Amino acid sequence: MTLRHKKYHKIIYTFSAISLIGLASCSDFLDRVPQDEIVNETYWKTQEHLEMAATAIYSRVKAKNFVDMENMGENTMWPSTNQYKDIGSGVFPVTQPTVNSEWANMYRDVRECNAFLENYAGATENQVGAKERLAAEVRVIRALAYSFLTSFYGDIPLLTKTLNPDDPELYDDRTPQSEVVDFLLQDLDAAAAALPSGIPSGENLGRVSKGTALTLKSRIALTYGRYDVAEQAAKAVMDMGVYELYNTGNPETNYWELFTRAGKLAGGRNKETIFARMHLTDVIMHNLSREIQVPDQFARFVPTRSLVESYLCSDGLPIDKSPLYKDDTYADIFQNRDPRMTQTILVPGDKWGGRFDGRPIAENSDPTIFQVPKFSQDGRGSVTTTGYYYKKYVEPTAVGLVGRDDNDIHHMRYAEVLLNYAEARLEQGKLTQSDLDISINLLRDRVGMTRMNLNFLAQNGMDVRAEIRRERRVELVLEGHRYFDVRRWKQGELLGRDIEGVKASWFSQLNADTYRKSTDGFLLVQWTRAFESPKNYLWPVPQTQFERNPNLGQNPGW
Amino acid sequence: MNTQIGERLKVDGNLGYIDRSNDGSASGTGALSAALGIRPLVPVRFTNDSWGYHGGQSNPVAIASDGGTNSFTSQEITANLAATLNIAKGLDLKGQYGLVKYNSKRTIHLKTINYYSPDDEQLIYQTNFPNKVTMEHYSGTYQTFIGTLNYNRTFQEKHNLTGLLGYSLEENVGADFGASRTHIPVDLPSLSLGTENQLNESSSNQNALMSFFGRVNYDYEGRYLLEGNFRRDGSSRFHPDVRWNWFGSFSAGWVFTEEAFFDSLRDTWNLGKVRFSYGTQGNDRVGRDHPFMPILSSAQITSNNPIGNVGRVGFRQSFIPNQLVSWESSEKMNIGLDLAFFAQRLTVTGEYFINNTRDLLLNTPLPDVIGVGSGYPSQNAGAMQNKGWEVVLGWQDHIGDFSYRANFNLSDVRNKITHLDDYAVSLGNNVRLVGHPLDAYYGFKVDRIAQESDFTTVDGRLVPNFPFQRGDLVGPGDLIYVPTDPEATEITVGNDRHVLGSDIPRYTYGFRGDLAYKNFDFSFFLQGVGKVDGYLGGNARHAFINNSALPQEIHLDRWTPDNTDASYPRFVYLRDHNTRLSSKWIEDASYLRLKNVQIGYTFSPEWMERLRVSKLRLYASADNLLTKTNFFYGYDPEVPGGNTGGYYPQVKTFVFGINLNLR
Repeated sequence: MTLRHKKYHKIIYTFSAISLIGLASCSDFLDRVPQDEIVNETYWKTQEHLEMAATAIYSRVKAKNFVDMENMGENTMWPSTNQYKDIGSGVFPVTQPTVNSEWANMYRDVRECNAFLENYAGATENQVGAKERLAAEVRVIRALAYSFLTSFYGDIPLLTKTLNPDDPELYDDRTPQSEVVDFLLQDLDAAAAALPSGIPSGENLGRVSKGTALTLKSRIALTYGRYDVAEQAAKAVMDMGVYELYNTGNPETNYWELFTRAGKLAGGRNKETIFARMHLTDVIMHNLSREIQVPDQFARFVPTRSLVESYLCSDGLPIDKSPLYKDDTYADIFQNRDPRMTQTILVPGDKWGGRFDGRPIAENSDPTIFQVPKFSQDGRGSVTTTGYYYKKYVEPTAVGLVGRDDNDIHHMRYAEVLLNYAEARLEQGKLTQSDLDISINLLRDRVGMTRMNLNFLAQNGMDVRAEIRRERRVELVLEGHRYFDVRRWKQGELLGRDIEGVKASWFSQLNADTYRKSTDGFLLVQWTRAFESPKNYLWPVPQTQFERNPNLGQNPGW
Repeated sequence: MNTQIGERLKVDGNLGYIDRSNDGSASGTGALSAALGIRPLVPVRFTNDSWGYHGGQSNPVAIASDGGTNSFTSQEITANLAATLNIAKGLDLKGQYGLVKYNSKRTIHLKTINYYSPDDEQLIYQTNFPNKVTMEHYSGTYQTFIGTLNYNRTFQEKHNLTGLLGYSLEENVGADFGASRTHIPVDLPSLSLGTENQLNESSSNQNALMSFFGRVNYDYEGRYLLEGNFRRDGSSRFHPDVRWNWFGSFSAGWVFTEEAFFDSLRDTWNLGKVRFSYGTQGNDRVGRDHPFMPILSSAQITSNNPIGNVGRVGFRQSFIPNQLVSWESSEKMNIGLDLAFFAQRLTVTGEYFINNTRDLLLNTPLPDVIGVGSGYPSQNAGAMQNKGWEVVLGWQDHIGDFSYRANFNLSDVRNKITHLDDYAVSLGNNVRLVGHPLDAYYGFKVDRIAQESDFTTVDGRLVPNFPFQRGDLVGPGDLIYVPTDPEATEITVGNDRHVLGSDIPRYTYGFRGDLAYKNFDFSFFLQGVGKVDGYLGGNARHAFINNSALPQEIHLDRWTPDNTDASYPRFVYLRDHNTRLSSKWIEDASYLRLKNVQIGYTFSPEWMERLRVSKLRLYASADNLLTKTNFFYGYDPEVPGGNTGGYYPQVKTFVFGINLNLR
């Protein structure tokens, strides 16, 4: 036992020593620094630091969520309850979670941008101008977030610095929308000046560029009636000469292919998309293609009657004027239409990923071909509530698997710039045929559609404004724009109308009483919509935010 | 292990080592929630032997059988060493060191499950594609050191004095890392066999506490008792300027049965003591290690926009630091009474206490323009009171070979928030409001279920004759909410929500009985709560609010035009206007539970002597055998408030065991 005793003595001495060291350096013992995180003071030193901070900011740009916003418009109909759909239907409470989460998320993005802009100036750079370029990219992303915020809520708190819990600005009232718009337009000008004009490629592929800043500027200016600014910004993008419509030489697939993997920015052939949220196989993916044609449930995005009927006939006349239009059968309505219709909406005979369609399974030898819409759920094929399906934005290889879609989400396309230009010219009363020929007619040429001609419109009693808006609707469908366009055009009543689908007489099973029909015999899909003006032109200030800061006030009608 | 070295030094030490492991399903409780949500007609397997699948629903049997594994192993060491050195008469120096150290590893093997159509053998669904192996390593070290100087003397055989001065250090350091790969060509959970998506990450945590403390006890003939305490605590979780705080306590007791005037009663009334204490105590549990530091953490490549078509890592600030956040402190006041009668056969203890917690540590929500998602700063933003009492009664005796003992305790505590800074009010389903319990249930009051007569037909649509929340599609069979203002024309979340109850239990009680006869022993333990509110939400309580919310037996009594006197509102597909938190869904979660019952037999020592066994006992024991409650059927009354069904209930366990002590 004596040996052991000795050992213990040693240990005790060691303990005494430890305790003494502890006493001597008592403050050091409590100074602990993070080992797997970075303390702010040690960051923002180099260009690499700025790039990585910008990377985190880029990840805040809306991904598939931007397409989901199409559910607020009347182009598409989600089969079950969906918060965007409820917002679009006008029937939702001030406590609706999305109304609050869009606010909270977008101000989170704004804070990250503001933190960057407060800190970037002190960093070193490897190339002259890199800091200012990165800061300009961040400004554009901040402007994008603010453009959503002011579109939803009208007047909004306009913050250009990060706030602390005790800053009184936290409890400020809202900045008028016109001031917000002024700020955004100026900030985008400043950003455009610091950004390169070429299409970013290589390691910069997907970055914000001068074209992004100017396109967003023209979008915001157009939305708030600053038509001259919108025109100039759009024209500046057109004059840059770097963007062109995606065209593989085949007008029958050009438009559709842009929204498949072939049209990804990374594919190198797309000079049309000005800004996209990119995705990467296995690393970061979404589920859009599957949701559009999901093979064993209700398809989540399905075209409505209103959309289907908005496509012109191939002679340039609307369906109620064109002798080419027939609607005796489902297949008829796809004949002789604007070619974008059959590149957007699934046509009988098309390949699809939705598996067994509306035909009896025993009679269906090839479920990869779509013929008849499916109206009731049996778990074996894609069901549609309206009778239509989309093919736009479907990457065929991604339908069969959950969450394996690596397609780009296109935020800004050159097509939008051309549409912005034509609309801005029109609203200033300056639209000429040559304006159409350098804008909308390029879109029509790509798909082989009859050109828009002002004389032709006049001869046929067609309203130029309605036609320019129609053009925008069919070109940009399913990309997230519709709800924003309808509201800026003050056409809210369109959102309050019932949502309808196919003509019931085309399909015998729709005769059953379980399917509601409109008075003119079309399948009724949603009949609980309402649009109150001015109430529904804006979202309410979220209840949660109003409770935390009553100075925010509330929007009209809410 | 303990040993005495010479006259003055005593050393104690113990060492423990635990090696444990467990294996589970890679999807955790995923199979449980899948089982709750799957439609009853979905086959487990199709006719072609593939796992069955229908419309986006997960197959719980497939997940449990083929979904992969989650294996955990851990090696843990605990060690305590203490040395006491007697310096002078009544004066001891003591050092204690404690260590807990663990190294653990978790391997998660996610296996791809393929589902094939019985119509044409096509692959129609896949889960966990691509297959994936994740290995995580966790390590942690917890160390304490306590040094004390103890003084203990009795003067003139009457004055007992003890004093203590101490110093302690406490440190908690953890470091974890994990790695994963996908596309493993064979069915082995090996990282190095994975061929793609090699990802890895690490995280760490550390915090430390340092304290100086002291105590003085004095008693006079064991009759008058006094104690004083102080301590100064420092925590690494707070900014150096506000890191340290003083805490202290004082108590006094009077054993009145030791007084001379009690001499005649002492044979029957053995002990009577009144005591009083008052003190403060600190709490540094802010929920993160560095709440005062502006910190950037990484945004991993799986969340980022792949600029340049490559995965990228970014950095961002994810919470708002607060340099002012400091100790929360509890002020505790306690009055107690200890009594014993009849040769200690009857014991009675009573307590009354008031605890006031100040500078409550809260993550107070701010207007979200501050821009941190949910990473609100920790703040000392309120005060709370817990007031209550407890009574413990004990009786023990024996009649010949039969001995028995009974213990009963009953206590109550009332919790309420007494102060909140302006912005610390929180109004959700669980509310933070002055005058109400912490996280009290907050919602609408329900009048009754609406009937067709409560509506007027306007333009072919039914318009309610009662106020409702704008945006709700209200019809007959829906709940009618009570407006606070009887004249109100609509229900609003701003005006019409009220505190509806609390999940903080009131009147908790327990009863323990022990009986022994010769070699047999028997015991039971009953436990219960007299008053508490429970709330089940989501799929646990409602049907058809989403595609996995299946109807239950209680839903048979839902409102229909033919069943107007229903207990449950009408079914509305994917709508929440009946299921939001309201008085309708607050339920009585009080219960009485037979927590444990045990019977044992101990073999006689004489018997065992030859086998060198000092004790051999056989026993049978059962836990949670019976529960009496009026709570929503099928659910444990102790389920956390607001639970939606993904909860593993307390299990009944039956144990047959042997206690064996060898010499």
